[in-house]
Amino acid sequence: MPGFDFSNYNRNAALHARGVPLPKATSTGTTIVGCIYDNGVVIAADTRATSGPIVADKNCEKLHYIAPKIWCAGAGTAADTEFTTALISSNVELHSLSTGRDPRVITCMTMLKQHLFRYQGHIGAYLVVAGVDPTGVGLYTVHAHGSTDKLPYVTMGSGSLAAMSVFESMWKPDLDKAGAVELCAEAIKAGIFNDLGSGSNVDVCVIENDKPTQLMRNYERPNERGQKERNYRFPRGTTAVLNQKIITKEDMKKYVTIETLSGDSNLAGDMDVDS
Amino acid sequence: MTSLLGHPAGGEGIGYSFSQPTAAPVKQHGFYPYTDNGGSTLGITGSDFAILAGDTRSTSGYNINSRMVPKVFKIGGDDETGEGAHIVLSVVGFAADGNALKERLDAVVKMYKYQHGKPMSVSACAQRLSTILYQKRFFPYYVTAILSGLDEEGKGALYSYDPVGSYEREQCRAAGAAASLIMPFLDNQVNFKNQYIPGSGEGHALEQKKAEPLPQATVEQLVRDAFTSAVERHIEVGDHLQMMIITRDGIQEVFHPLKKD
Amino acid sequence: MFIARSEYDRGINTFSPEGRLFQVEYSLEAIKLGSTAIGVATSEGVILGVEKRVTSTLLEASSVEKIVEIDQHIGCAMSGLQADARNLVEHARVECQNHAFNYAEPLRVESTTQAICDLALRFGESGDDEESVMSRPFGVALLIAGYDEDGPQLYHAEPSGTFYRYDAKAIGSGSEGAQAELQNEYHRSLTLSEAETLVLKTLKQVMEEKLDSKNVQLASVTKEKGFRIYDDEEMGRAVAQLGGNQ
Repeated sequence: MPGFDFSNYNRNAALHARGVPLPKATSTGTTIVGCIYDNGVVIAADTRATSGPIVADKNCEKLHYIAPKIWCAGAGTAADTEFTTALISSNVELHSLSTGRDPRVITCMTMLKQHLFRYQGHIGAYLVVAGVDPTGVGLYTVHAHGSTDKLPYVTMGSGSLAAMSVFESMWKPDLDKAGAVELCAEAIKAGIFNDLGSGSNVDVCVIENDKPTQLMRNYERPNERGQKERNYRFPRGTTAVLNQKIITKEDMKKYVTIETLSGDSNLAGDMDVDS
Repeated sequence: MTSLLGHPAGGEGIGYSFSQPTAAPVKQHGFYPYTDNGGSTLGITGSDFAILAGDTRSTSGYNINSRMVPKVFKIGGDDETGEGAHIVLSVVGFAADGNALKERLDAVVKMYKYQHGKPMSVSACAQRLSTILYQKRFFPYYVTAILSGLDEEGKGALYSYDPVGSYEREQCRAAGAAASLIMPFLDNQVNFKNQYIPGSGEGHALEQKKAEPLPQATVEQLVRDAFTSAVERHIEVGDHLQMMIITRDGIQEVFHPLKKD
Repeated sequence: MFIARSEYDRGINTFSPEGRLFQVEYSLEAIKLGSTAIGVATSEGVILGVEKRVTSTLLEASSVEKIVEIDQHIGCAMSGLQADARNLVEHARVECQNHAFNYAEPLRVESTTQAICDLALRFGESGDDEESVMSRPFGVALLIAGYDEDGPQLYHAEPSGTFYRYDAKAIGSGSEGAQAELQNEYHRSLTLSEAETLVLKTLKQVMEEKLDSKNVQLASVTKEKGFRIYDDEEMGRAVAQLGGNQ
């Protein structure tokens, strides 16, 4: 059976009703942005993943590959953004193969919104889809419930207001590539420093017509950790040893039985192995 | 259909043997007077000094209210700057309650000096803070307080509290958002918990490494390392580190920058 | 028409044209009618002594309580209206307990005395939100003896609300003669047992009855034992010693 497995639903609902809390999902309480320019589009993201108030990952990747010239920035539940983009990436490639054309951003966006709408918001993926295709430059936002927007500059995630404040004060039409990259990085930094859900580094991806896509991982690192003042290496023997058991290679043989199998010894040779 | 378990058949309930949730509670409007402003505090004592520290970030939800709201205060000083004080209080939790508590304790310590003609001892102040907190047992000051100074023998003294006045004198204590991150570090590095003396015995019969008061320079390093590490893994801690160092020469206040993301 | 002075006797808080509060002055007179009480402070501790005025052979002498405990480290002797003293002592006891509860330390002797004197002037017409103030000044004076971080101390508190610290002080009907005697005999190097003797000797001189172990009462405050009222045996020993010394 393809799709999600609901066999634990009743059990979990019953446990929840009795006061057992749901396990906390890793959330990318995040700042992600996108901005088009004269010949392409830039998307950017911070690299903090959180679980409640705790930083789960200081340098995670929130820019996901969909197609060579379509990339996606994800906010929301980490697993949902990763699986949704991976699934759509697969389908986009299959679609591209069967049509014999380069995939279009709008196709990808439509597949995402239809998938998310089917799950009525339970798949917590908030995405910025960007890319270039034969029709031109595309930049969209997709919300977890399935709604979408098409705009020249977009922000999403918990740091979206901080990031948008940068766009609204500094964006201008006809940006060049360097200007768009700089503006996106500034917007992400606004999120990193003013939104607690966002932090650490800036990742940037530039998708341009007639040029290979550039993923600039850790384009800026404004939050390097300083040197610790003390050395926390313990002398050997600081930890008490409760007990010790040594299993030698010889002893291992006691747990292993060796049997010689009879039968078709040329089984592998008959298979058509692609080299 | 007959229900084996005596539940009314049909309906939304799931047929398990435990009680079903009753009808959805009536929607009530209410006023919740508390907020959590995040941040963390930390205190460590030595043989002739005490250090109380805290970050200066004030948060609400995912927002930063301010990057410079101190959580550590001089109590019972002669003027606005706190000059002449010999007791330090840190408060973390709900900042408004923290401020109210600090103002109240400050007034009490000043009044005490007028009424009794002597400065209040740290132990007397510790007991008074406990009664102040317990007096609001059913509408508490939503704070975790740490009180610090030098005791009658000149040794570092540190008292930690819960929001309703239970208190205890300790060598070290972390409080607030990152308390669960910092406290195990302190147990290990200040009281040497889970550290044994290498080669002092066989297996589990090793001799525990004995805790003894640490020198001031070491404690300052531990405090800074505790906070730079807490900043790495807790989103509500950051911006600046405020440290109050209490010695027989007075109270020294220093600030260090912390990461701002 | 009464004599001119009487117009200013009535109002409890009314100054006379000469700037006097007659009711307060009269309350001081009440103390001069009271039995004699003496306190002597030494470097080892403080001794309090009172005459008990056993007015009848049928009176149970042990029921006359003129020296009482305020806290473990403070006690007081009284002269004047005993019932008024009970109010003051009760107030002082509450203040001591409150302080110990709030600060985990004993209340200082001076602060206890101040607390008693705070109550002394709460007489007169009551304000709107003040509940039950007293109609007249107290008619009693106290000798407050105690020990704290400043060592042994003796204070004298009056109905006027003023108090002073003394090395040695006598109050009550025989106070004039007794104070003169203390003035002559007191010196800084007095021991506790010498102070005991000085108190008894002075009381003996000013008492109408013949001093014995039943009609006087002693108490002491020391660092080691705090406030203690002498029991019959100790009183007997102290009085016997007085006889021996003379």
